[in-house]
Amino acid sequence: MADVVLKHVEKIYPYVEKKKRRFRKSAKSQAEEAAKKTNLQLTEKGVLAVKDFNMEIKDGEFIVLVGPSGCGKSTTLRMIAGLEDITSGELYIDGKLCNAVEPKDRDIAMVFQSYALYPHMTVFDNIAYPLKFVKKSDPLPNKPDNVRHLTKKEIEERVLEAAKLLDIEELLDRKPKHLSGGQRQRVAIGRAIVRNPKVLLMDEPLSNLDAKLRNQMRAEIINLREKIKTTFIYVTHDQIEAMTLGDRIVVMKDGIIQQIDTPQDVYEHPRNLFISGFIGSPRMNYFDAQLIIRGGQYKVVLNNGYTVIPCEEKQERLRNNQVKEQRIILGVRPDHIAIRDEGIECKVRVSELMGASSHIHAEIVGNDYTLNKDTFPNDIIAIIQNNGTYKNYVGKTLKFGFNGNVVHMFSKETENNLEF
Amino acid sequence: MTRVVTDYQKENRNAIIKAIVLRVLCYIFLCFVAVMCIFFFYLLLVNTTRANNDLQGGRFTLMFSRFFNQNFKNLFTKFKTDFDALKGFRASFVIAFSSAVLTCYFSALTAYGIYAYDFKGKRLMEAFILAIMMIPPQLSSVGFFQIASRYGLKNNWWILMPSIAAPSVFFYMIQYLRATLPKDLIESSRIDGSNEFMTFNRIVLPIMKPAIAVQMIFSFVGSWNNLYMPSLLLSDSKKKTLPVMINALQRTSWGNIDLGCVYMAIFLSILPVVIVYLFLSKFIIKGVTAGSVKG
Repeated sequence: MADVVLKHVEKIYPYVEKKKRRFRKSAKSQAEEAAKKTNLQLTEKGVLAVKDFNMEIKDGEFIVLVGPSGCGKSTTLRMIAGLEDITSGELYIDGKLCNAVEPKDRDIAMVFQSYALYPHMTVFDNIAYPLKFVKKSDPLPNKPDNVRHLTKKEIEERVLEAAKLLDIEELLDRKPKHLSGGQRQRVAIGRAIVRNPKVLLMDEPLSNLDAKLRNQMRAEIINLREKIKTTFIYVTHDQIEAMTLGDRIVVMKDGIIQQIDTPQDVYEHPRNLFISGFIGSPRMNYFDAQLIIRGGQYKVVLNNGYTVIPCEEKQERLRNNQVKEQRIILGVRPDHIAIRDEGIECKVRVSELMGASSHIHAEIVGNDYTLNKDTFPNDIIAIIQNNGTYKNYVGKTLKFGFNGNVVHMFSKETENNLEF
Repeated sequence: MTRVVTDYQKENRNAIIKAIVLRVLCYIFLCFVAVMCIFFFYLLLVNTTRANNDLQGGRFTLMFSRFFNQNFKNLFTKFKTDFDALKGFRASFVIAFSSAVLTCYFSALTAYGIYAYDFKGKRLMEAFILAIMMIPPQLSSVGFFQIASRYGLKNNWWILMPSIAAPSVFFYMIQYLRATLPKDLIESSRIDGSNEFMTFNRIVLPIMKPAIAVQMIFSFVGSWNNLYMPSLLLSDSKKKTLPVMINALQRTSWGNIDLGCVYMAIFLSILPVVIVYLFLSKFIIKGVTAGSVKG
């Protein structure tokens, strides 16, 4: 177990200058063109992958780095592992500056997305491989500083212990090609934990598995975390994994940390529009609205006149931040939208039965006043609990409403949450 | 209706006839190629059974004769001084085997270095190595011969093994690595505590086994049959390789040349290579195609 501290860590990939030919564009202009198409950030030195990453990860904590593709989460993990050089900043593992320390000397282990099992070795040999390099202090009468490698018996004991923990004892003689995806993943985890590393890094370990197996392995990782005492740093783009596994979540976008908080806080108090949309499934509903102050009280008025009064806690935060009247983006999660007698009138377009609940996609009757870009622009999504009986609302006109304690108010200019 | 069916049947029959004709033509072509490949070996085998007088007469025949044992005996008695089979085999084997092992190991190591590490001039280095392939070995042999003479390395077997990291073998190895070795494996090994050399020896080399096996066979055969460099550098009769000995057999016995013995010597010298191919042909095909598909 060890704490990991990252101070102002940055990663810049320098421009790669190809052979200069008369009509060939420079590497920088090529990168600029690529940046227009994607969300790459360019600097004088090169392409910025991670910018000013600051974080203190405590002993034994489970941290999840989450974000869309290309946000820099894997690069950050690889910098911690020592597989990528750190352009600037400092990385401390267990209090030791590790910027220039070789991966093998960092006492870390890593589970790769592709499992990275050695194909020519059996499961036993795969798990035993890291132990061949472990050195153990074994003082002798004439040599008090004597250090030796583990004996065959010690290696065997530790491999069996790890195999037992992951329930793969019967697979020890098999080669990776004879294992299923889930079994391979277990072996990869076994190889990582057998050495009792200070920090266990996981780079999207479940993304190659099917949905059912992913759920099962997720539960097993939670179990594993209870059994082994080590610091976990886990990278994923799956928000469900992030929410269920992490003690704290680091949400990243374009190489910049957006928010570091507990899963509950990230879900309930997203710092900006991006986080609110990224965390939570189905995604949050957005409305074009006006924030007004009447009698010292903040009110949110939608374009059709539907008015919501934020709860006292939110009122307090808005007051403390001296938020002025302005046009805002109002965010409401689908699970906070309910069918009411009074509210926004909508015609149900699609109803998806999810089991205990239904996802309802409904088109707002009247003006276009939502800001939902990725689905039908005038639709809102609501999650309705079925309570044992599924009602098909398709084609019906319903009224949807929400309370003041579940609304998220974002500045239209900065896209930041006005409460923070 | 009947007319439509008839047309269809006609069309179908034509297609079948076309397919059969095409297949027959293919087989004729393949048989021709196979005969062309085997023909010279067969002719060699026939000539080993013919007497010198018969061969000197220049008569062409495909029928076996009865002088196989005689030729074999003559080779080891009449030409004992020119053709010492045991020493020749030993020299050829030591040089071919060492050369094959060294070439494959160091070519794999070079390919791995260029594949796994990112450094300035990496592409240039790869291009340079590949460019060496364009230089004919005969061209470099002049300088090589001079160096060997100046430093007294003539008649030394080890001087014939400098082809470590051969460009063609390197090219095959790097293509194989690109197709089969994910970089995650290398990184995983580094994190597991292994140093770079151990990663190569314990992880990369075993994964490259099929490629190495194929290249070892090719290098071995190439080196075994090599006449040019050994004939330049090996003049000591005790250190001559088989091809050099056969060459000497032809030259020294000019006038009273025994062609039956020459063919017998050639036959004996290709025997190990044929055996290697017969036993390992499956392995060779597997290794050649292994790198082509990412699996």
